[in-house]
Amino acid sequence: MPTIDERIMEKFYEQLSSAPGVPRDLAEALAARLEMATPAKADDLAQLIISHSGDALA
Amino acid sequence: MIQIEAIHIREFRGIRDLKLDLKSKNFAIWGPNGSGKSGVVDAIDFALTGDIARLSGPGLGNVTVAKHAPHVHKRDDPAAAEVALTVRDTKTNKIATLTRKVKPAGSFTLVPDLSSVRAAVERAGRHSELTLSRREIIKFIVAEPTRRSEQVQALLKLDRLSHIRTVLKTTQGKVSAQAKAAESEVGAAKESMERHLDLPDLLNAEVASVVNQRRSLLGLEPVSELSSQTDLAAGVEAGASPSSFNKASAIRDVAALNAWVNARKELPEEGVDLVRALDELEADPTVLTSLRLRNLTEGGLRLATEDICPLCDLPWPSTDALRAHLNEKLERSQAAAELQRRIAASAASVSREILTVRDLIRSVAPHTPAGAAELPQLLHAWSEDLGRFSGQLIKPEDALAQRDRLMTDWLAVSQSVKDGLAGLLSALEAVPDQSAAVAASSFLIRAQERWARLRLARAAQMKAASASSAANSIYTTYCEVADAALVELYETVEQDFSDFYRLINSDDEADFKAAFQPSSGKLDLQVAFYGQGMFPPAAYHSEGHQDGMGVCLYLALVKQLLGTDFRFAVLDDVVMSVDSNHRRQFCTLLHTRFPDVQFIITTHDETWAAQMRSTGLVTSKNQARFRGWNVNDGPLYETDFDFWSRIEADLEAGEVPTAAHRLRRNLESIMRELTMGLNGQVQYRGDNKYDLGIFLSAVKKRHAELLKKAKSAATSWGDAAAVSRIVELDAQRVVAVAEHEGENWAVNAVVHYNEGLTLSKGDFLPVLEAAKAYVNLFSCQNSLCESFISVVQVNGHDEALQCDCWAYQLKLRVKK
Repeated sequence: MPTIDERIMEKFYEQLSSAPGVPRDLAEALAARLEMATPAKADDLAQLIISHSGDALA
Repeated sequence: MIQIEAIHIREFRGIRDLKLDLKSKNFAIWGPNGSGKSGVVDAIDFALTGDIARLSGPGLGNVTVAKHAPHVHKRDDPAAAEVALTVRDTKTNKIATLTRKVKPAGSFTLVPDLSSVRAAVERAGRHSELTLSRREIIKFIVAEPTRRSEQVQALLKLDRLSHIRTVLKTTQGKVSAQAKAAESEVGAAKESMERHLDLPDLLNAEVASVVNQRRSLLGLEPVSELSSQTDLAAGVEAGASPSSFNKASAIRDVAALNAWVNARKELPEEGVDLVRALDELEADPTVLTSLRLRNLTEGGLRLATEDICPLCDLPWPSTDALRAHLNEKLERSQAAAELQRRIAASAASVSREILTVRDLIRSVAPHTPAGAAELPQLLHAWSEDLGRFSGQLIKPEDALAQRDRLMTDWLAVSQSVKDGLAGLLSALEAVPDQSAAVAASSFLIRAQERWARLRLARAAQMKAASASSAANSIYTTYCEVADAALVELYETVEQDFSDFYRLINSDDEADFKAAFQPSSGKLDLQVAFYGQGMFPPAAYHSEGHQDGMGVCLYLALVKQLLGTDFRFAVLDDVVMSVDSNHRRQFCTLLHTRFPDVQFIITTHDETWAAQMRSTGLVTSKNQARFRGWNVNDGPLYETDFDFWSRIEADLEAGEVPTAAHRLRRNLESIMRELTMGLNGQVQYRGDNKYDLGIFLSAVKKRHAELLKKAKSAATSWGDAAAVSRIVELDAQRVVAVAEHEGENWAVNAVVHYNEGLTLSKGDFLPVLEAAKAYVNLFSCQNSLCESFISVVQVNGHDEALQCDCWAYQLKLRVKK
C-alpha cells in the first residue's frame, strides 16, 4: 500500500505530464530523479530542466 | 503489517525472563508504577526497531541501548539480553519468530525466514510511532503550530514532501535567475548591434536597408529578410579586405563608453535605494546579527527536539520553551529578512547597470591600436573590478562594505582610463577615412559578428525562458497537487479526530469539533470549548481532556498513515489523566472503531484494567497483572484472569475463605462497572466508601427498570419477538436475583469472620454458581465479545441497552 507521500508524488507526476510548458521527456526525467534514493539538489534539477528545454534556432 | 502472537523477553531492562501469550489479540498489562510494565513496551520497541525511544529522550545523553538495555546484572554481557517476538503477517497469516539481541542490535533473525513476514516486520520497524507513550501523544496537542506541523508531518512521513517543495522552489529561483541573465545578454547584444548599424532599433526593413547599401556597393546580392540563416557578410571574404575594423563603428563604440562614463557618474535611482537600505542596516547592528543568525536559528529550530539547545548545549526548562525562544528570534529577523529582500532587489538593478558598462568595455577593447598595451590592460582591469564590485552587492554584509563606493565613485573609473578613452577617440577620429569598399566590407563583417552574437543570445534567452516557464509550471503543479492533497488529508484527520473525541466525551462535549489550519509550514489547531468558540487545545481544556485529544489525534493520523495496514499499536499509559468514565468510552472507541487493530495497553490503574475487560476490549485471558518487581527476579506477574476458574481452584484446594474473598472483591469490581455502564444510581457518600451492597442494589434496581423500559419500547414499535425475548430475560433476571440473594449471605459471613461458621467446598459451590448466573445476565455470550451490556444515551436519553458487538441489543426509546 503506497504511503501518503507516495500517493501525492504519484498524483504530481500524473499532473505534470499535462502541465503547460513541461515537455514529456522532462516530466519523465524529473520523476526518475525525484524517485532516486539520493535527495535531489536544486542545482541538479535546474540543470536537468534546462537540458530538457527545447533548443531555439540560433 | 504484523500482529504479535507471543513475547519472550530475557535479561532486558528490568526483566529477567518473561513470556506473554498475546494470540494477536488486544492485551492489557496492568500493575503499579515500577512493576516493570514499560519494560515490555521497551522490548517490543527494541525488537522491531533495534532502538528504545525512551532511552533517547531529553537528558539521556549518556544512556545508550548497548550499555543500558541489558538487565543490570548482565550489563557486561549484552549478548544475553534478547527479545523474541512471534509475529503474524496480517496479509498472509504466516507466523515466524524474530529475535533481536542487544549485541548486535542492528539486525534480527527470523525463524522461519519467510520473505512476507520479514517485509512486514521491516515495515513495522519503520513505524516507531506504533509504540506510543503519553509523552509522545500530548506533544501533538500542546505544541506550538510550527512544531506541531513538524511532528505531524514526521508522523505522517511527509518530510520528503517538504524537502521536495523547498528544492523545487530553489530550482525555480535558479532557473529564473539564468533566464534574467540571458535576457540581459540579449539587451546588451541588441544595443551593440544597434550602435554598429547606427540605428535606434532593429526593424527588419531598416537593418536590411543599411546592410544592402554596403552589399550593393560591393556588388553583392542584397539580403531580402533577416533570419537565423541570414549571413549579412556573405561573399565579403572573397573581397580584398577581410578586416573587421570599421572606423565609424569603432568611433561610435568608444564614444558610447566615453559618454556613459561622463554622463552616469551619479548613482541610478535603484542605487540610491540600495544606499538607503544599507544605511538602515548600518544604523541597527542587531539587524545584521539577525540576518547572520537567521540560517543558524532555522537550523537550530529543526534540531531542537530536546530541552538542550543544539547550538550551544545549554539546558532549557523544556523543549517547547527552547523552541519558543528560537521562534521569537526568527520573528525578530522577519524585518531583517525584508530589508535583505530590498537590498537584493536594488543591488540587482545596480548590477544590470554594471553589466551594460562591462559590455561597452568589451566592445571598445578590439579598437585599441595594436602595440598600445596600456589601455587594453586598464580596460580589462576596470571590467574585472566592476565584476567584483557587482559580486559584492549580493550579500548584505558585503554590500555594506561597498556603501562608501556607492556614495562616492561607484564606477571607479580611473583617470588613466578616462584619458585613454579620450585619447583613443581622438586617435580613431584621426585615422584616415577608409575607402568606401573597405568601409563597406568591414561594416558587414562586424555587423555579421554582432548579428551572430544577438542570434545566439536570443536563442539562449528563449531556451532559458522556456526552462523558466517549465520550472514555474513544475513548482506550481507540485504546490497545487500537494496542497490539495494535504488539505484533504487534514480535513479527514480533522473529522476523524473530532469524531473520536466526541465518542469519548459524548456526555459533555457531543458538539465538539476541531479545525486544522495549515499555512506556510505551520499547522494551527483550534478546538471548540463548550459552545464558547474555538481555542487552542491547551487554552481551557483540562489535562485529562488534552490527553484524550492527543490519543484521538494520534489515532486519526495513524489511520491516515497506514489505512487498512493499521493493525497493531502499543499504548503505554496514554490516558493516565483521563477520568474513569471517559476511559471507559475510550475502550469503546478502540473496540468499535479499530476492531482489526491489536492494541497492547499498559496501565497502572486497576479500574481501567477492569473496564477493558467489561467493555470487551480485552478478554480475561489476554491480560497480565504485574504485582511488583525486584532487581533479582524482575516483574512478579500473573496472567489469565478467569477469576471464576481461580475461585474454583481455591475451592478445590479447600481454601473457602480465599474463594469468598476473591468472589467478593471481583463482584464489587463488576458491580461498580455495571453501575457505571447501566447509569445506576447510588446514594452519595461523603467518605467515598462504596461497597458491594451499594453497587449490587443499584444494579438490581436499574436492571429491572431497563427491562421494563425495553418492553414498553418493543411494544410501542410492535416488535412481538423483542417483547417475547424481554419477557424471557426478565424471568431469568427474577430467578437469578432470587438465587443470588438466597446465597450471598455466605460470602459476607465468611469474609467478615464468623467464629461459629465453617463452610465446605460443597456449601460454597451453590454460592459461586448463583453469583456466576447473576453476572451472566449482563455478559455477552459471544466469546469474541464477552463485554458487559451498557446503556447507550443520545442527548441524555436512554436509547439502547447493548453489548459492544450488538449481539445483545434492546431498544429503549419508545415510538412517539
